[in-house]
Amino acid sequence: MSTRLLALLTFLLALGACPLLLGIVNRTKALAAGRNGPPLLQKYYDLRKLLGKGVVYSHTATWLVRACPVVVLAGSLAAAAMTPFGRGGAVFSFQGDFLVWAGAFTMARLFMVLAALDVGSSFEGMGGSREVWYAALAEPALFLSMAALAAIARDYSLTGFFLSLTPEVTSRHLMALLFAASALFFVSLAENSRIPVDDPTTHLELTMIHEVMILDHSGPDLALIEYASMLKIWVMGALVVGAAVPVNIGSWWLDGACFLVGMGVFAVLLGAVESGMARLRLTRVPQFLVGALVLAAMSVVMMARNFA
Amino acid sequence: MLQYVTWAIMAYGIGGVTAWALRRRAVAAAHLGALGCVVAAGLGLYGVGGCLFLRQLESSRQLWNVPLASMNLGLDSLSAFFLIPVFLVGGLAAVAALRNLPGDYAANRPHEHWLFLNFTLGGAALAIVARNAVLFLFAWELMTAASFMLVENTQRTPGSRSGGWVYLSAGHLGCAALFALFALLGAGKGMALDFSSLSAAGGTLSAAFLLAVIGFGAKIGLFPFQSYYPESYPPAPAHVGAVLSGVVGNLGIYGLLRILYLLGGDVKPPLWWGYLLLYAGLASGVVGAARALASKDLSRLLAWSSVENYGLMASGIGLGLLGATAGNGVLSYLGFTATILHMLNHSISKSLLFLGAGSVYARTGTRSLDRMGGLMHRLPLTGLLFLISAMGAACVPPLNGFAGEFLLLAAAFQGAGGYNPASIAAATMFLAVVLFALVGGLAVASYCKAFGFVFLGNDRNPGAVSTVRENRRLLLPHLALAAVALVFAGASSSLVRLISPTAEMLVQLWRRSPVGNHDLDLWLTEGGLTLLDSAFVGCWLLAGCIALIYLLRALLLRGKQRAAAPTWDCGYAAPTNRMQYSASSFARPLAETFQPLVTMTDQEEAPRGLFPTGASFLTRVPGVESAWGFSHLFRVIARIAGCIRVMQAGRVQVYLLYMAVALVVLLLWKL
Amino acid sequence: MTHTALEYLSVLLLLSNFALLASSRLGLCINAVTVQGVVLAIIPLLHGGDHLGAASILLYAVTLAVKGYAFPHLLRAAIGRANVRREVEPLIGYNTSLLAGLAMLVFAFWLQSRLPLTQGGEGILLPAAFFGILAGFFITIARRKALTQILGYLALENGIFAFGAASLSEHPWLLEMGILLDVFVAVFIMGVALFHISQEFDHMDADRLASLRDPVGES
Repeated sequence: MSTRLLALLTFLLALGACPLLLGIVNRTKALAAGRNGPPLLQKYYDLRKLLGKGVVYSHTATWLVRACPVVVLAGSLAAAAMTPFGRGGAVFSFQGDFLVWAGAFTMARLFMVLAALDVGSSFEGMGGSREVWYAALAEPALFLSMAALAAIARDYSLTGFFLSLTPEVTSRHLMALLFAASALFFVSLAENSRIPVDDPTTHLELTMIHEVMILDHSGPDLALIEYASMLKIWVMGALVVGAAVPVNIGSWWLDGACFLVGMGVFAVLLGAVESGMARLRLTRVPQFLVGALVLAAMSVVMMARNFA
Repeated sequence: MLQYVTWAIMAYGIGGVTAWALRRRAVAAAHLGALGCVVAAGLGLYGVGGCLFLRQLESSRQLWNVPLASMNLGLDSLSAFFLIPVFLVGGLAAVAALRNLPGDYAANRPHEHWLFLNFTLGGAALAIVARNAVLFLFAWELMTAASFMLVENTQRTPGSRSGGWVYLSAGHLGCAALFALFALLGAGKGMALDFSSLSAAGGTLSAAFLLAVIGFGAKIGLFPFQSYYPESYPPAPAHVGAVLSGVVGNLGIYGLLRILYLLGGDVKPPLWWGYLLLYAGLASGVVGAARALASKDLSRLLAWSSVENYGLMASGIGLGLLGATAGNGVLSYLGFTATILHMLNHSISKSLLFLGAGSVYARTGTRSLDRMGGLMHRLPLTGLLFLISAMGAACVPPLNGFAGEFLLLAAAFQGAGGYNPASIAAATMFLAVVLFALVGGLAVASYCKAFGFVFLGNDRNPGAVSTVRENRRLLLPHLALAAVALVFAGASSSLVRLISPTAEMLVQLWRRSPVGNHDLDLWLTEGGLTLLDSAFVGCWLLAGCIALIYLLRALLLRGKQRAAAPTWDCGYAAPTNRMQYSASSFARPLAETFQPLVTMTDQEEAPRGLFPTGASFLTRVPGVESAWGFSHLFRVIARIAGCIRVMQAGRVQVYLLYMAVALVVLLLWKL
Repeated sequence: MTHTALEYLSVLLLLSNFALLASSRLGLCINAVTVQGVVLAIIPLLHGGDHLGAASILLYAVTLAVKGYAFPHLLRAAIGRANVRREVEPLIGYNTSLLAGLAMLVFAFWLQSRLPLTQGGEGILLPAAFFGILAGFFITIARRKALTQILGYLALENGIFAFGAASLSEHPWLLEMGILLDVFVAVFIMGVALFHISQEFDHMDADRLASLRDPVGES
């Protein structure tokens, strides 16, 4: 199968399957708690319900609240287009694309926070404050683990990172890759507002981060934002899986199976973390992110030792 | 093309002097002064454009009746790039000043204001084309003094006076270093101190570099000179802020790059040059970004953000030097390209931000971020332009600032891959990656604060804002700057290609040996340029995605019911505007994380009793220690003495620390 | 195979030291030190290679017993008696400690590249040992509670032990037995002292011993 076609197919798969990932997470949580839980496809039903509704805007809001869903989804979409999902590589791949990748999420975050400030509520401002707080501290860990990957792959694109991970390279740099993957996992917990940084199921405005920022979005706008965050989890998960599981084994179906199983494990892992851990106290979250930075640095050190 | 630039400098001179001469006719003086700036901008930009596109190197030399001096002017592409903001920002700031701020501050003495504005810009342009040390110092002094008077002239409050003095004294400390620098370089030459005859060797080379870093670093608030920098901004009116941040500060970067031409040669630069600039730049980046975030005053926030951005540019030069030392032409090239590109983008975005802040101030009468809000409803176009410039200054794609930060990060990544990964140099590069990322995150947070709390939400101080509608004609200079920013964003790859020869020239400063720079040539021909296009590709990709989703949303919303309702207030039925989250609270947690870099003091009066009557909470973010001078010095000495006393703390842990440090030092000593 | 296993164990040492630096929970810190003890007990076994003599086995058994069982047990008992669960306000915060830990890690690796060693010059064990020494020292400096300081001391000692294992693979057991004995006595004495501190002063904040200092510098 041609690589371009495979890239396009995996991209479309990501667009289609990202709500399912959250379904698996929620099912894992439900099983761990001894409940049946919502159906696996629940997130699709939610999106359909939201798309059918009308929209309500705050009196205070300006066009920024309307721009927010557009820019947030555009950020996730552009990042997804630059992320390799398995063997086929990314739809768009170029030198330095991971910097643009991070920039796309930064752009999305900026508009998310601005839309939260736009409605003039104290709670949404609080959410925005925490969002920029954690994001600023998560960014170094993200970039450092990217730097480790770039140094291992000797390449400066996300596709290059992961396609260079043949079994030989992986076994040589196994420790570095595992550290990078765990740093990325920590970062993806923070960036996607999951436990232990933020609780996606909380309903108390004072404690929320992501959920409180979208309180004043509704209908299709909310659907776009929700969908964007599902896509973001898939994209970040693909990064974690890409670093932890070598996808360049040989035959494309084996690689594809590896990737899909990896994503499934990622979802179950998310669910397991959420069932097994409580949320951290807000002031402890920076320590969590510094921990991610330490992991990324360990990855760099392990990588450097293998070249020494 | 040089003659156009010369004429432009003359136009500044003539405009300034005639404005001053017409002191009795304020309107005519203002118009003539502004005309000088605009004419100079037109002439100068024509000359600069010619130089850049024709790729000519020009110089002219006339005798000047001053010892060691000559009227030696030159125009090369490096000068041309630094002239662009002088003319562009200078001209537009003059137009903005003329039209937006008719009376309030300049009413008393507009002629002086225009004299100093013209002389600041003229001095900056002259310093950039000067090729003689005495002429350069003359222009530099002219610019420093005129910009001091510009800050000083406008307001007569005590705050403005001390801000100006701090600016002047810091400027002259830097100047002293520059005098020493050129004396050192010209020692024993005897002739006119033309740049071409200046040289140094051996130990003098490093001394000269250190003096240059002090002299030019003081201009850009490079760490550890950062604390004075924002002091001069709050009292200055908006367009002066634009000129200070968008034009005058760039001269420090220009000086650092130009001095490399004098210091370059067959001997590679010592390793510590690169480290010094890289670490000093990173330090001012982090400190500037953290203090920008904590600032409660819009002008101060923007000024601290300038410190941050100049820090990034300085670290770009540092990366360039490290590359030159290591023989890594690609790293060197990326570092220098990033510096020049970021300089251009930052000038445009930051001056637009200052102009926007001026419009806000004219409307609200306050600069305190905690007392604003909701201006988007009244000033929609100003708000949009402010957002564009804020995104540019925060280096958020798809706007213009991103390309520079992208190249800086790319340089650090390239450096990390280029060295032996187990070396200290590679570790430095990884550290640079981490700190660049941190600075980027902090900058986004500060601009969320700057834009969000000025323009969004509800007005926190209702009644104080004039309700006059936005006069869009007054926004023409803002629009022009925004258009330039958008063009820079959309055509960043062409811009990079325009800068590329200059950066290659800088790389070649240390490559005069026959070896040449094969690695760089190879890299450039073998697709290295695609890396330079990446920011461009990425910006268009993002813009394309935004357009796509915009259409999708329009489709999804078709025929849907749209309603308006109050903001969700969590069940509390009577929210007021003052219950909104405040700018200080927004920045507090993140700023607190950087506690030693950002000092905040709280004054709290807690509610007491069952029926509390009064309560208050006030956070201060003190700027520089206001006592400037000997008392400051003495306090430093006292503090050092206090530190020594603390050594005898009587704590078990501290004595253990002494032991640990002693052991490590012994170990290091023996290795 | 033993080589890779050694690498993994060394990484485990590194991570446990980071856990010590990052955590305020005394229970978790004790667990980290226990992990170190167990790892250090396994390392001589791997290092012994082909000539795995009775001496190595003995060392393994004694280390495991002392570090893996006796110390944690003693320390847990101490926590129980003194009734503390957390190091509440350390002198140096946890974020700063972690970042300092990173600096120490880089330093440890750099040190390895500079030391003129004949053996153990290439594995991670040596830098892990250095890191343990530095981190242990750091913890004794940065924390207030006497118990955390003991933990730091143990980490420091574990670092020295690992250093011995890395650099002197030829029959180091005599030396290590000596260290072990030293430490055992030290912990025993500290345990007693700790108990007395908490009984006498109602807390075990070593910092407050400073109130006993010479009052000359007081102002």
